[in-house]
Formats: sequence, structure tokens, C-alpha cells
Amino acid sequence: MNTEPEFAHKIRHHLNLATDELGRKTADRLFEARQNALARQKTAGAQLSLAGVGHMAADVILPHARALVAIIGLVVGVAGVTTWNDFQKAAENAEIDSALLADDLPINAYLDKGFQAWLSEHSSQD
Amino acid sequence: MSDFLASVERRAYKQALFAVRDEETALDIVQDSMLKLAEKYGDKPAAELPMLFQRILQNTIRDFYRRQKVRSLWTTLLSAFSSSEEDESDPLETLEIEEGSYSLATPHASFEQSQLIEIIEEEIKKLPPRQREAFLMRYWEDMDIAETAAAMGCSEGSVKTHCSRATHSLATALKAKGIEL
Repeated sequence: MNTEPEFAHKIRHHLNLATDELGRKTADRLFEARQNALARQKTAGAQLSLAGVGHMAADVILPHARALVAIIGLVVGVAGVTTWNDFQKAAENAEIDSALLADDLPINAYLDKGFQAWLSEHSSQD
Repeated sequence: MSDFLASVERRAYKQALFAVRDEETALDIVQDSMLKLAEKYGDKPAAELPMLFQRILQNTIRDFYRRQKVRSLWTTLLSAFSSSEEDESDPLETLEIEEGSYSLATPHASFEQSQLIEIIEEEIKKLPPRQREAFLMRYWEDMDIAETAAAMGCSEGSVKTHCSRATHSLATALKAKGIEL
């Protein structure tokens, strides 16, 4: 009775015989496949070159490109809205300031209790 | 890389052929596996290549099984709508081994030798896929248990079990045909 490795060794011998007898057409196809694979082989040298660095960066960044674009869009959007609000506020303040300076306050300003309090406070200080 | 591929390509082709039982598909699988290995792991040390290549090869074979399963499902669905008697054949028949679908060109070998090889190959094809993978990696590719386990994505204990069962099945099947190795 053969042990497992002995039996396997005999099977291996027969399999190798069969492999040696592969047809010419199959051997040619395998050779062609090997050449194609070698033509596209990744080499360690490529990683060290400048192009390799770019390629590596592209490999890392490209899979997350969509998420990155979305995040950048969101950040730009938030920054845009904040800047726009600041401009609006500044314009409103400028309008009130110029009205105060021109002594041309709208009637609503005198109805504002806060404004009257501020006015009396400032006039008493003067 | 070139030497490694040259040394392994014929056995890889046979492994794929045992699994998919079609010469063209087996060649495609080996070509895909070689490409993947060269593109992704072309810079790896030579010692790591056998395990990596086997993992890629087995995954590519499994991908083929998955595609075939989907194709079989569609064939079954489509044949259910068809009234033609010709289409009523079982799609699983495509999985059967076609007699003489490939034969070994052994003009100089003895008839008995080629017959024996054919019988051994047929019995290897009949093994459950995981047993076949483990057996061929261990004993044909000369990979140790740890490498085989890593390539198959299973424990070393599973590799031993698969190998033992494969050996037992092969020995029993060959003995039943009057062959004692």
C-alpha cells in the first residue's frame, strides 16, 4: 500500500508525461500568452522613476476620484455661500451707515426700540 | 518572471483544463492569469510567484464557474419559454466530459501509457474542485502546506484533509479499474 506522498509522486510522474506531450498549437498559444504577459509586466524600476511616481499617484487617487470631486465641490460651494452672505451683510450695513450719516433714516428705524435706546444713550453721553 | 511563467504554463493549462474541460477556455484562463500576475505582481520576488500565480489561476477558474452558472440559469429560463423539442436538453449536459474532446498526441508513447494517463486525468477531473486544487498544488506544483493554504484561502488543516481525500478517491477509482500504481 502506497503512502500519500508515494502515490502522489506516481500520479505526478504521469501528469508530467502528459504535459510534455501537449500539442504544438497549444504550446504556441501558451508561448504567445507568456509574451503578452511579459510585455505588460510591472517592474520595480518603474516605481522609482518620475513616471512611476505619477503612475502610483494615479493608482492611488483615481479609484477615489469621484468622492474627491464631490468633496471639493462641497467645500467650494460652502465657501461661496459664506462669502456671498458676508457681501450681503456688508452691503446692508453700508446702507444703514450712509442713511445715518445723511440723517435720512427710514421711519421703521424710529420704531425700533433698540435704536431709540441706543440714540438716547448716545445723546446723554454727548 | 519569464522563467517562472515558462516553467509553470503547461501545468497551469492542464489544471485549468481539468477544471473547465474545454481547451480554448483553459487557454484563456491561463492567459488571463499570466497577465494579472505580470501586471500586478511583476515586481515581486521569485519565491512569492508560485503562490500568487496559483491564487490568481484558481480565482480565474472560479470566475469562469460563476459566469457559467449565470449562463446556465439563462439557458434554463429561456428553454422554459421555448416549445422546440431540440431545446429541451438539460443545460447541465454541457458540463459532462465529451469523449475524445481532447486527446493526448502521443505518437511515440505506448498505447498503454497513453491510456493510463487518460484514465488518471479523467479521475482527476472528477475530483471535487477544492480537493483537486489542493492535491495539484501540493504534489504537482510542489507547494508546501502553508503556501497551498495561502493560495486557497483556507486553513492548513483543510489542505491536509483535501489532499488526503483526493489521494484516497484517486487510489480507489484507479483500483476499481484494475490499476495499481
